[in-house]
Amino acid sequence: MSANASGEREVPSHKPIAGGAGPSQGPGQKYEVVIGLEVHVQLATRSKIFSWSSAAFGGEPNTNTDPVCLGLPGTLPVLNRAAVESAIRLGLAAGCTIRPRCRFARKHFFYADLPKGFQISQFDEPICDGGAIQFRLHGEAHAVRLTRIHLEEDTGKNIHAPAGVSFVDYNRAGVPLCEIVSEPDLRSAEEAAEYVRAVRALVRYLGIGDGNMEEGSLRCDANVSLRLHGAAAYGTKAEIKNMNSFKNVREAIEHEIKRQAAILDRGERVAQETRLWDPARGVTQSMRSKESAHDYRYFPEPDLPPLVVTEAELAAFRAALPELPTERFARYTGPVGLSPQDAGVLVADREIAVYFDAVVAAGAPAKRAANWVINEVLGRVDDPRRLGDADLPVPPAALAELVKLVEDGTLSGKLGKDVFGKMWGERRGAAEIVAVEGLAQVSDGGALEEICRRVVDASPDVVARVQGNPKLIGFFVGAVMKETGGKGNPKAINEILRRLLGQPTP
Amino acid sequence: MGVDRTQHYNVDRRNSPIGLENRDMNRDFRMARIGPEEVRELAMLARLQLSEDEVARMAGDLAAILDYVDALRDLDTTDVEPMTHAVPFDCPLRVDEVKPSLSMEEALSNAPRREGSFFEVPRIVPVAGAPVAGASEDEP
Amino acid sequence: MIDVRGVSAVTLADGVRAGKWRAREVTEAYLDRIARHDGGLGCYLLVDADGARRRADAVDATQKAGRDAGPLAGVPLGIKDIFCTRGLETTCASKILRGFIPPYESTVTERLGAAGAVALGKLNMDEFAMGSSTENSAFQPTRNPWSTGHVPGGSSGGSAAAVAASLCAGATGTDTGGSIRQPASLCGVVGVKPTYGRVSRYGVIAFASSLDHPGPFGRTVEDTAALLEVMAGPDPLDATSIPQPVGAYRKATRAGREGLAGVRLGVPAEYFQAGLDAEVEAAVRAAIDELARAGAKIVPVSLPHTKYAIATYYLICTAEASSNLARYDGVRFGHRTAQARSLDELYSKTRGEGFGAEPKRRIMLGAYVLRAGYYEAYYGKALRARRKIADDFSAAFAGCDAIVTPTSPVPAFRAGERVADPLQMYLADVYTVAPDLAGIPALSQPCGLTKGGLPIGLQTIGPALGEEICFRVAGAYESRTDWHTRLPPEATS
Repeated sequence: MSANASGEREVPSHKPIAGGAGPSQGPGQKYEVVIGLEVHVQLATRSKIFSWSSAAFGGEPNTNTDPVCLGLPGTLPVLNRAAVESAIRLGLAAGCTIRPRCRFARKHFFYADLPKGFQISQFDEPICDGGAIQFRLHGEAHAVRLTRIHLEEDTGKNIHAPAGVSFVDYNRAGVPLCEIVSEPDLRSAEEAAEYVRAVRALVRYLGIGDGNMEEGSLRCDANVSLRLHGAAAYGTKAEIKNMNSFKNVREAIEHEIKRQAAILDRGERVAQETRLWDPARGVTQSMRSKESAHDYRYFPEPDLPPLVVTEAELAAFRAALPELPTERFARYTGPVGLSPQDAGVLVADREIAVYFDAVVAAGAPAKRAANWVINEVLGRVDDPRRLGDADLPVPPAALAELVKLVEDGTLSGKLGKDVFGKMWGERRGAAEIVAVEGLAQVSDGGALEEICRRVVDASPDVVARVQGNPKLIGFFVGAVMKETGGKGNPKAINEILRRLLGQPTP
Repeated sequence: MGVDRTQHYNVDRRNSPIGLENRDMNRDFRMARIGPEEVRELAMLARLQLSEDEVARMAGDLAAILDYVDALRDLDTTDVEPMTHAVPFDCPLRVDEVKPSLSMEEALSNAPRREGSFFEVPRIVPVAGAPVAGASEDEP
Repeated sequence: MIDVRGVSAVTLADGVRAGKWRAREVTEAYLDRIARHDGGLGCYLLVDADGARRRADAVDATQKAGRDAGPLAGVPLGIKDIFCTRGLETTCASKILRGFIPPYESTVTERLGAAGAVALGKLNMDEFAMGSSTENSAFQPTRNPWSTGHVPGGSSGGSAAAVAASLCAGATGTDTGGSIRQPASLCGVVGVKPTYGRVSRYGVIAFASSLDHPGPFGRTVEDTAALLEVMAGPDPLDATSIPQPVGAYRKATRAGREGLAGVRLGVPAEYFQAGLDAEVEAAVRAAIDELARAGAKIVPVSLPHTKYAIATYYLICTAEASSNLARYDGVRFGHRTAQARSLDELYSKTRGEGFGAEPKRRIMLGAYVLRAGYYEAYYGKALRARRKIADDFSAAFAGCDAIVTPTSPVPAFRAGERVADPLQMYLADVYTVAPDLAGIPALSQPCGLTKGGLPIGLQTIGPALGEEICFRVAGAYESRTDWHTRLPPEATS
């Protein structure tokens, strides 16, 4: 990222993804790609959705369990208030309708990580209906409709050991999940990846989860099908699983599109099946499936009466929603006047945006503040959410102070960056550093004039050549800078030298 | 065996509260409505290994019971709300706090087969249709 | 050794608290009776003599220190083996749970222990509470103390028989289709099915979640009232537990002794039709006459959907049971098949080996009725029929305060008589299932003996949270009769 003369960050133009499914190349030319996504969001509650053991990630195997999540005989589920609140807030943020009365249901399946032989989920009366996820791609706004969002419990984990056995760890069994089901509105692998990114941002904005694909707190399954452009009916879809990063989402779907196109081109049918993405080999593999299609034998969960959400509760949640990514983006690109690229970076995580807003509120001009946050601050934290830390080395007010010193000419831009480095490393204020180390930019016209004259007088041979080669003024600028220990105000120096050398101001 | 089954169910069956009119005790009403194939399919669905003998008997038993419960068809239930719960209140919510729970040893105390801190099962081959991310989250 | 035969729980508790007896003596008396008589009856699956003695000693220590050990101080109880007891094997009378030692305690047994009661051991039952004769226990049958060739009823047959034979002063049971009331009736003791949710199901191994009702057995109505007052109450571990505070059941029982002036008792025609044994009918009608003499007004009522109750029950309970029993798979507890090459084989063989015929039947039927495509015709239909059955009671209670009926259409039947025909067995529940479906309270108390010496039971049904009226009516009847004082012959080992 380079900075141009006015200090604004230049963003390299967005390169098209090689082999991407745009209409002008590849399968997309002949076929329309139809993608629907199911995203599972692990909610960061303290305890599990139906029981009281810890929902924390990791931990020694089988140390975060209780009789309920282990499915021991005689145990019963009791619903975690925080999980419900998170689901409601997510639904409101996505513009869903929150059902005043929703139900839990049992979904039956025999598998080692499912202790009760059924998963408590929601079937025909989920907590949220409808809604949409918005994101921007190539400068365009997209809105992907949602079918529903519902609550359910997570399963344990199976670990495959050699020698014909597998091991089961139930720490994760019972952790709350929100399942977000989209309509098949996505039309490319790229869009799909952006959608997942947008879900993650929303989840983190609301503070309901980590949205970490690598750790599994955000999981994504895709339903991909192709049809001829203009066809009314959907093609046969394949379900793709095991995509555990945004990159994997894009690559897996791209691969699947090509695979299906090749099948259709040959005049064959795409099989309705589940396929696992293999990132090492870059292909999807068909999973061995049961003889009969899965009959989950859903019925209403008898151990949990229907869940009621009142209008008053909804109003309170709505009023307490933070400013969401799309609203913020509109404000930043509108009244605040930032570029879409800058706005996009600031909006990506709520902590960044909140930090930026605070810097501006403390008096720093918006565009400058955006620069500093994006170029200097973000680079110094491993996780952007650290910008929300109470013990951040450079809190917003401190950054604002620095920005103002550069604005008013006390500090040169370059020195400003050095000062920031010191502020971050040593937790000192800008004004203090400038004063103690005498870094104040020398702008005093009289002092500078005196130095300029000395420097000009010292090199008459260069003075002679300057007429023919105006760029040589840089030689004098450098010399003056050296004399001032780097603290000279470049603008003032330039003006004075030009006057002294009889050069016109550019 | 000498026990007169009608001893307790005498007199007029027409108004019997238990719907005996649906059931002619003298006729073998075990229709082939649910055959051995379907029984085996159900047994697989329910993960119940049945002997061939059990399959045959099960078909008969299920057919008899299904025949009996068919009486419900006569009941008009249009516009009747299903009664899933016998309680009139809605779902209570629990405060989100962690409470002391089972130690790893307690959790594994009844495990028929364990390996260290894990429950042990035969090697699993991931299968399509596993709920949630169960299958896709399996660590290889 | 104290003679505890026929002694009521309330008498024992009062005695221990007054210092008349030590809890340890009382416990020893029951342990002695068990040793001498249970061999011939088979009530207990597990006798925890050491644990019982320890608990009794603790009660004595508390009393000695001048503190009150609780309303059930020193009362020895039998616990149906469906209640999870920490550190003590809990099997639900099934091979699939042989060796299961719960690492936690059911709310009911926790509360009973905290009230000073002494658990003597775990009582026999039909496997997973499925049955009406206790012949479906995987381990042993239980015999009716009144006639050992007859069944004690089920599924809480061990509980009813143990109380009848004075092998415990009271017992816990569960009632899903009649499993407390029917054995109480067949064994001549008092059994109470409370309002659904009145007693916590946490730690009660689930058969049919929306129909399971834990409740007490006792020699007298006041005994069951005393037990229920301790067992009942809201529980944060059970989302279906009723939040309202527990009623004054002992007080209601005693109020009944003053008479039933102003009480209207409904008698439903549908419970007195074909299929009702003549002696049972005669005894129940005599009981109703007695209640009238106590001041109650007898009014005819109709419960027109009674004839659909069994079908409705068997569709709902099997669907829920097939779901609740899915967790028995050999992975975390219980029986596990010796050899399995795959996960599916592990499950199928474990469950095939571990479950008895009746659980298998109900699991299969439940899986069938929940299948996509069949749901609306069977399970969905049953849920609507259930509403109509519940509405029958609501309508009836507009015109009466409680409903009285026979508990069981027949007295105890012979062992082996119905086991071969599942449907025959199911029909034994005809008078008990409807209150389970509606979730309303019902109580059974002894009201006669057949010429053959087999007990007959009177059932009182109340509206939701109407336990008090049931106890009042039952208390009134008991105060005017002496059936509750009759004792079965002593069994020999």
